Amino acid sequence: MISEIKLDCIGKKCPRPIIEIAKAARKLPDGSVISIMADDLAFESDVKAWAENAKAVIISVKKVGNTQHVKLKLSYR
Amino acid sequence: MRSVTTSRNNVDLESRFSDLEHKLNVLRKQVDVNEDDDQVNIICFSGEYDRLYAALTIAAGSLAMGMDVHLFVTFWAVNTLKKGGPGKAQFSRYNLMGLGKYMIKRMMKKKGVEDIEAIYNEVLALGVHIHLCDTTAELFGVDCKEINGGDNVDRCGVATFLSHAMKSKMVLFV
Repeated sequence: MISEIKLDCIGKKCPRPIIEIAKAARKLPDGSVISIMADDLAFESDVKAWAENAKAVIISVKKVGNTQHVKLKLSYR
Repeated sequence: MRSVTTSRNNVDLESRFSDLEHKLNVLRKQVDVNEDDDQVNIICFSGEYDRLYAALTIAAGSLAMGMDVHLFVTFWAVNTLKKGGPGKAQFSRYNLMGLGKYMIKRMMKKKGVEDIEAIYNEVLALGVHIHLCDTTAELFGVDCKEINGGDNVDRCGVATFLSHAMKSKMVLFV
């Protein structure tokens, strides 16, 4: 069973969103999915940078108004 | 005669062997250094709120990216930590006897920008290493126990800093 957690980072500014992703990732096993909602303008590029560094895979990116909905999967480390 | 030659050969072999061992250890250290690749070192020289904010944000981001982060706190940053932590620091510009700081903090709250204390606590929770410069800690009379940092704080000298710096991915001076 794949663990999936949701993070609500609406209204939160850099570096908070990636701190929250990192904290969640530390507690989750490989293969887990993290869904994040954020409206910080830096988030779009920051989450990609984080994922590339953490060797996580971005499954989906959706933009609804100012909000980014990003799903990423923690790949095998 | 033969036994003298044999013992001389043995001595020769032994010294060559220990020479090789020494060279091997040197090479081993060079290889092991690559394991410390993911290190970020930040020299916190400035004690002002805005400059510390920048240093701590970079530290937080580095920790979030899985790096091993070391802060080398010296001079005015040591003094700031002694005087109650980053939250008590002045702004480097427009501080205006505290009025400017008050106005900027009010703006931060209004726009959802986190206070420096929140970032600092997060950085501690994520496992930053804080090294107090021994000389300036002595100068300002600061002890590791006085710093809000728990087990993450120790004192060090410039050689310790340099040994970290030379094998790290990134070194910054703030």
